[in-house]
Amino acid sequence: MRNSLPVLIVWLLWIGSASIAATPYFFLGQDSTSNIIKFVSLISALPLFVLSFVLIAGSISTIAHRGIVRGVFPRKAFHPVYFLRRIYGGCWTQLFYFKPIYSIVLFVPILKTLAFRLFGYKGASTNFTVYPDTWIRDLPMLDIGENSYLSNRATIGTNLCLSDGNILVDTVTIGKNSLIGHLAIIGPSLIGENTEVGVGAAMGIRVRLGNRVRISPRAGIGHGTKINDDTVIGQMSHIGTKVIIGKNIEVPAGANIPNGAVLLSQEDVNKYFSSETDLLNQIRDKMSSALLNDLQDVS
Amino acid sequence: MFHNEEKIQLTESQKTESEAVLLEGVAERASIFFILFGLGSLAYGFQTFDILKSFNSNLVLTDNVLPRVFFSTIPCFAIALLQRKYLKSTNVKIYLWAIGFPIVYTATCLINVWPTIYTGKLDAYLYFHAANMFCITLSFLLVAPSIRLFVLHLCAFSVTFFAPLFFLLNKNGNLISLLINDSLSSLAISFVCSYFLFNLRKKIQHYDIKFKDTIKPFLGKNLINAITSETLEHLSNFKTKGIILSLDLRGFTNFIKSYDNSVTSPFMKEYHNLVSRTFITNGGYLHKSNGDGHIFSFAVMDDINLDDINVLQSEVKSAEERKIKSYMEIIDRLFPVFVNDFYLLLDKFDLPPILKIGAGLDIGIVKLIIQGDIKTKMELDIEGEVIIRSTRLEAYSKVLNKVISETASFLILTNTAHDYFTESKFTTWETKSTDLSIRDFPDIKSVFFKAWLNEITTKTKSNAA
Repeated sequence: MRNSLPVLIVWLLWIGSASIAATPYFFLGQDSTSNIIKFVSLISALPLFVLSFVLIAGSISTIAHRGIVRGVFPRKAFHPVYFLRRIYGGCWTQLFYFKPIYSIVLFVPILKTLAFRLFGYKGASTNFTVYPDTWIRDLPMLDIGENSYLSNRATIGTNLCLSDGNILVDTVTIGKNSLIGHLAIIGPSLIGENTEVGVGAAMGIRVRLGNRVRISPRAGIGHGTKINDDTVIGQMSHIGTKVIIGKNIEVPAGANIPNGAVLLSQEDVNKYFSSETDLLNQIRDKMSSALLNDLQDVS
Repeated sequence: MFHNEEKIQLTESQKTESEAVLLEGVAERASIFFILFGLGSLAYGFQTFDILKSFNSNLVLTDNVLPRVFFSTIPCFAIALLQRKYLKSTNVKIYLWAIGFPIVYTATCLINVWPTIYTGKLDAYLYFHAANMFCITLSFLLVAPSIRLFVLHLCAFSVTFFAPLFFLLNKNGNLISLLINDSLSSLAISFVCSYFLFNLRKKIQHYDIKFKDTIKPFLGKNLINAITSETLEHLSNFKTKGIILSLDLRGFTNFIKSYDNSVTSPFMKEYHNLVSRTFITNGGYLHKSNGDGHIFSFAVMDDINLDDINVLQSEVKSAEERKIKSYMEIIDRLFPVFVNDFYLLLDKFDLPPILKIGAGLDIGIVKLIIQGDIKTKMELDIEGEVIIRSTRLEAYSKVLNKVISETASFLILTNTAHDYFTESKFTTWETKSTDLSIRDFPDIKSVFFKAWLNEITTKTKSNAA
């Protein structure tokens, strides 16, 4: 019985929207002698379909809003929370993957506000940029600041499937005027104002970025890491799990900061960087001397 | 009550924050007003039935009540619901009141009352005039908007309510003058009162912001963030492995007895500055400061809880170990500098080496708790055996002062903590006999310590001699 619910949702959504869209033609246009009325009733079908699709999907999702909460839940179809998540997810993905409608929704501010609020978005404003192929879901878990920019094909991951059969759901908060770059992937995290997560960067679970932080392209930030205000992480850097990076620090490109490192000053960063360079130089020297020895033996 | 107070200076961001909170208050009160008016309008339908029936004998009760339900009560409740649940923009909520209420009010007047007046029964207005004045005044007083919103609300009322009413009553000069006189007096009173209330709220808000600003340095950024983001409950009952550093001034009682307040007070002020500057700026969190004693934690308050994610536990454990080690390296680097700065401070105040630092350091599981009575005082605190151990180690520096050197400063740590110091050399101390054991922890058979002799003050004194 409960497994038939997705079918019912889809049926309600599509048949309901199609019926509403067809209503003006059936009741006005079909029997009308006026071509104008016929024409108007026909072309009104499209906006009516868009509007009713959003309204029906959003309205059904409201019954599942109480299931969109923080926590770790088993990925079992009939678990009380996961069951509600399925209903919500079903409604949201019907809209999200119906790109022509979703792009119209995002393009028209009033429709965007209506859709986002119906799906439980609680942020102060919907005045931020998001593209039809920016992955977002669990809108009650999102809080995106005004004028923020979520590039196309970025992933804002409020839910993560874990390998132990559970699912982690947590909030994503993005401050005002922040930017999430193309192909960037962020887990549940707290991002400050005027902060940039560069193209292709990846951020783990519960990362905290301060204000005016810049994560350069393709950098990786581990779980539970905290990066304070005005800090820059160089491109292709790897920052491990539970790292603490202080204010106004520049981590060079390609840096490899291990798990649990505490870098409170630029000197700390330089120390890590130089010790790693030293290690690489030592390995290079060893290898070159071994190679020279081999060559001498051969000659 | 605020007239004699000094004007509060706020930054631009604080002003914006204050404005936003004030407007949220206006929107909140506007939604309450809509609910009250919706209920009042329904009751008014029953109450005015007899009056209206005396002017229109065909009127039935449902004709006076049902339209009020549809055109006044339901719209008012709908607007209140929108304001309270669905709308997020404060400005939209306020404009809904400023423009929406006069429209709803006029719609209510159009139910039997204005049509009766329009048929020439101008006397009917006398029965409703007081109610009109009361509702309009109440709208301004209860919502207490800013001057800009007051003017907007008044303009909306002028267009939707006053202008048509003047047109309806224009045949009777007495009624017109009654309307003008009463409107002017009630609006003037409303303006003064709502202006006063708005400014009072504004001042309270400014005091609130300033107060938060003032307490920030005392509570620290973690607690302030937790309080302001209302996530205090997330901080409580959170366990993590951390470092506890207890600091105390040895010889403090003698110092207080030997010197007067003109020396002790500025010295202690500078000492507290030195402690804060050294440890807080390097990742320490000051939990307690009592006279000459301080308790700091490292790797506790900046920790992000990942305990609920089982699949990450091995990675998290290794990261936490590394973090402890990183903080230990920082403490190892900082402590000699701190002691040296302390000796320089003694020298600056021309004090003999009667004061020295006693410090205890240990590692263990620390639990964050919120304790106290919610009605009197709540406090964010830490608990765990490691805190007691650290303070006992710090107290043990008294013993080392007696046995090893009276003028040296000591940092004492347990074997567990010592394992994290890979580069620094510490001296082992066996706590063999009972009188040399650590209070409350007799099972600790040995500790590690590092001592710093006060060479600066001694040198200066000998040079002076």
